[in-house]
Amino acid sequence: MLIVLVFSSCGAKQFNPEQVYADQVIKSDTVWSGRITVRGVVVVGRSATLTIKPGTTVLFEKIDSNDDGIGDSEIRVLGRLLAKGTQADPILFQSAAADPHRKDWSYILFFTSGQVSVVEHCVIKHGFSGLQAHFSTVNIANVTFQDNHEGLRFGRAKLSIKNNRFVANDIGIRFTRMEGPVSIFFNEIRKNRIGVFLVPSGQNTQDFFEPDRSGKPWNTGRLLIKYNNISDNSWYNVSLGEKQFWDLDMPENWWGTSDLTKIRQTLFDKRRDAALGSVILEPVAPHAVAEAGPQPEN
Amino acid sequence: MFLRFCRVIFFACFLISLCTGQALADTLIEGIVFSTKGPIADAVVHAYPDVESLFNKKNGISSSPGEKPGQFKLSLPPGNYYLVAEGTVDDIAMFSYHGINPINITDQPHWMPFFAVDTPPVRFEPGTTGISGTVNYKGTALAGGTVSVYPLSDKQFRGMGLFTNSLDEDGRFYFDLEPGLYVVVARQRQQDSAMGPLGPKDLFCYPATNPIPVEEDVISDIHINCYPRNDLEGFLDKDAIDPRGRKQEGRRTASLQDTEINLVPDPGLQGPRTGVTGISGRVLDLEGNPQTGLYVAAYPANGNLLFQMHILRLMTKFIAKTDDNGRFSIMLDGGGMYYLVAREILGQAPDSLERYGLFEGNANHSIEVAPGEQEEAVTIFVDRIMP
Repeated sequence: MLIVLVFSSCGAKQFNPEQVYADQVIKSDTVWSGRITVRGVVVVGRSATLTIKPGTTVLFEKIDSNDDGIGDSEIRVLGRLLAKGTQADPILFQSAAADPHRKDWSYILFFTSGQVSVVEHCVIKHGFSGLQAHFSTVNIANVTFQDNHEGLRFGRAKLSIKNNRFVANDIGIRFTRMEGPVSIFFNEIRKNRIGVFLVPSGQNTQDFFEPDRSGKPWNTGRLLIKYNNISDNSWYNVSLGEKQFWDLDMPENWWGTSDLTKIRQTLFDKRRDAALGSVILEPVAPHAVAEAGPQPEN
Repeated sequence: MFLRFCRVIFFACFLISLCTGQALADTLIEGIVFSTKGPIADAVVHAYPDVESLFNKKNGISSSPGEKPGQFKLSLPPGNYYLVAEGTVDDIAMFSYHGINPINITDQPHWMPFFAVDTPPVRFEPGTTGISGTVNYKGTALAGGTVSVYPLSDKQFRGMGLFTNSLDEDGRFYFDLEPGLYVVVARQRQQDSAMGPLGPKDLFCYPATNPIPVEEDVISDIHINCYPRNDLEGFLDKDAIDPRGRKQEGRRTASLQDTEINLVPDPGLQGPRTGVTGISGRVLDLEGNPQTGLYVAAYPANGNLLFQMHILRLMTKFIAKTDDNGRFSIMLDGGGMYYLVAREILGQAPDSLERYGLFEGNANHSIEVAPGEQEEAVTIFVDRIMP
């Protein structure tokens, strides 16, 4: 159900049709450019690749059919998404509302996708989550996540999260599994309420009571969080969720200071709740990581 | 000569592992084995790679004790295994066969509880060729349950088997069989359903004496004790040692992982059906090749009219398996909206390179089925996820 509306306002320099995608499954390779409106759920089918050209604006209409306060519109990727903007012409994903707010739309969701997707040089705003990745492989680079409830959420996935900016979200990065391979390198995670939030998923535990585990998690080394600038997040730079009792290694990041006492005041971990794991900071980067945040394309 | 041969084999394996770069790490399986009296202190869990090994007690990998009485640790290379637990209580042998055997062990660690019960020996008496027996749960005859008998070639011992009978009011059953070896499994469901996965508190009953030998003009009389799925509370005696102590309250009970699956028989083998509610179709890969041996699960929407990922973490009893042509058929117990998924593994989070697919007939991955109607020619495409 593709609806093509034609706007030909006076003085427009370029004929630029607006394409509206209502609830549908994209089943063959498709290219988006110009101005796209998503009205409901657009699924990129398992056999399809959706390519979005630099400079494209994707607007999500606010529809809340189940009245849960979260807009229903989303892009759900089962196949492949290639959203490669440039520094000069980023791709914008944002609310279609005149007065936009967080949670106006759901997210760009990668769910059980069978191909490697790429999201580069994009700006993502006003979502419940900017991106969610579950059971998928995605490379995310040079993306600004701003004014979302969550910038990025992931569970089991294979992810490269590099040179992104997470700013002014309720939560910068939220994840539910300490497994990977996931690398979170050279990102700027600042001025969110919580910079990094790790909560347990509970999906792997089949028990009548939880075993008294302690020490290192079983999958040490598959989740890497290094060389990021993580500071000025108003609640906590890092928070561990309830029952998250694994220790979380976060070496070689810059926290706005090298004073360990001050850094630890910005963490919610074992030092505040004995039932939680610890955030292991050392060694701390001696200064801000110059390469963190979006970078020009090579 | 033999030692030299072994050294050559070892060196060859070492070279192969160097060349391929494959060094599969073992997966840690932990858990606990209970009897009705509490954790079994000397419990050992064995993992067998196939049915033949299970019944011959060969090629098994055995657990080591865990940190607390009754707990175990078992390191296994990823693969499929039959897991059983053994131990003794008051000098009586206890045994438990895991209800979802064979279990696919991935690289994810697991916590697995076992409920172990005793099994008296088989009594052989002159009579009609077959198997008779009684089924009990905690000393009470299991009236109203079902018992199924399977040939060893079945390997999974689920579904209706060769024959399925109802237990009488004394929990008794009888099968008239040809001489041979058979596996007998009894079940009792809380809900009035003869198929589908066992739900919480449903009873699973697998005797340690399986496989049962049947000889000409001899009745093999067996006694089967049951354990409940995901109901530690009900299983433990009132004076049992509860390892949870005061932490018991608010703890989670078992999850989807501990699910026994009974596959719905292929209706194609049963002739046309009328008035039956169901979904049928095919599972194909992206090149259009039929996919054999995949599970297709239909999740009732139950008022969740928008697809959400968590729905796929819930339990469903509407499951079928694809045949050699990728065909499946799921019988439903009522009309309504269902979310459809095809995949290789059930009861676990999707994993890298698993064949997986949602129904893509609409953006909601759902299908509406009218009561008494068949939704046919439904196609689900799968590919290997998370490359």
